[in-house]
Amino acid sequence: MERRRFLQCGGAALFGAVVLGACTSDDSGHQQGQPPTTTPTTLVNGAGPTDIALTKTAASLEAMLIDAYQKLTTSPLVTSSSLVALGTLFAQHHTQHLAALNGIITTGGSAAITAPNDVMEKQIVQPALAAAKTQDDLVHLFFTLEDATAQTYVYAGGASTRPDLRSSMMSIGGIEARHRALLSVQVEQQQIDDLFPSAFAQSDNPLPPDALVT
Amino acid sequence: MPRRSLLSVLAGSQSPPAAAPADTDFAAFAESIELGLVSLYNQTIAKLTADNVAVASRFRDHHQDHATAYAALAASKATGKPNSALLFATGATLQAVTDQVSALAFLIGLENEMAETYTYALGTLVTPDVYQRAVTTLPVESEHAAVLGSMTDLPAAGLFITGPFENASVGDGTDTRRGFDPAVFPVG
Repeated sequence: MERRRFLQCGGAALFGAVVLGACTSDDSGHQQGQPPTTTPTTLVNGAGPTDIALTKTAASLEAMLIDAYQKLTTSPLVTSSSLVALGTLFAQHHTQHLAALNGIITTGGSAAITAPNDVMEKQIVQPALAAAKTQDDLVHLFFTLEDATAQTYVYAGGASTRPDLRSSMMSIGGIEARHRALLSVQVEQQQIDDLFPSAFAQSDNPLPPDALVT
Repeated sequence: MPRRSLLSVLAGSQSPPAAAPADTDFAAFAESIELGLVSLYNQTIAKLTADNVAVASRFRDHHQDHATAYAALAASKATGKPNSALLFATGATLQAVTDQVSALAFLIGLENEMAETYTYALGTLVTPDVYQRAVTTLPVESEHAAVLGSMTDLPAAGLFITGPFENASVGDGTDTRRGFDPAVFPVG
C-alpha cells in the first residue's frame, strides 16, 4: 500500500488492507554529526511561524517514534533479536533528535514538545498497534512511520525559511532516511525498486492535514 | 491591480527570480561530483557479484539523474564532466579495490561523503530551486550508504558513521565523515 494512502486511510486500515485488499492504491569531521544549533526559529528580522510550526511538528513525530519503539521492543509479537536491536538504536536516535529540536524550539521562546503527535497517535499509531497480529504487521507499521517521518523532514527542509534550519532539518532527515532504508532491506525484504521509486526523495507533506503542530 | 502584478504585465512575463551566483556555482559543483560518482561506480561495479551489481547499477543511475538535475540548475556553468580532483583524489584507493568487500567499502565511503556534502551546502544555499533539489537529493545518498552497508553486514557504527545526525561539514576527502569541500574539489 502506498504510504500516503495508508496515512489517509488510518492505521487500522494497514492490516485490513493486507487481508481484504481494501484501501490500496499500489500499482505495484573526526567527530559525529552535530545536533542542530539552538538558533531561535522566530527572529525579529527572520523566520516566521511556519518555521516554528515545522520544528514543533518534527519534534512531535520524534516523540511519537520514541514511544512507539518502546512498545515495539517490548511487544510479545516481536521474536527477532535484530529487530529489537534496530528498534533500540533507532529509539536512541529519535531521543537525540527530539532533544535537538527542543533546543531550537525553546531558544525561540516556545515550550518544549514532549508529547507524541496527537493526530498521528489517534489516527495511525494506536489503531495500527491494536490491529497488529504478527511481527510482520509491526515491521510494516514502523517502516511506514519512518518513511512518513523522513518525508516530513524533506517537506520541512524545503519549506523552512532559513538556511541553517534547512541544514538542521536535513541533518536529521538523512538519518531518518537511513532508518527507512534499513527497515526496508534488513527486515521488510523489499525490492530495491520499491525502496527507490525515484532518484529523488518525495517532498510533499505526507501527514494528515491536521497533524501540523502550531 | 497589485503593484507586482502590474509590473509583471509591463515586463511581459513572470519569470522566476534569478539564482544567486553562489548557488549556481554549487549546482555546477554538485553536477561534477555526481558525475564523479557515476565514473567511480562504473570502475567499481566489475568487482561486485550477482544482485549487488544490479543495486550498484541502480545507484549509479541515480547519480546520473542527480547530475542532470544540477546541470539544469547550473545553466551555463555546467560542464558535463566528472570532477577531476575527486577522480584524482580517489585514484589510489580505487586501485586498492580488488574484491567485493573493498569495493563496497569504497562506495559506502563515497555515499556518506555525498550526504555530508549536501547537509553542509544546505546551510548556505538561498535559491529555492537549488536548495529544494539538495533537500531531495540528500536522503537518497544517505539511503545508498545504508543499503550498501547492509550488503556488507556493517555493524551500527558503520551504518551511522556520524551518529544520530548527518554531519554538516566538509573536508579534503580523507575522512568519510566529512563531505567534499568545493574549494578542494573545484569544478573541472
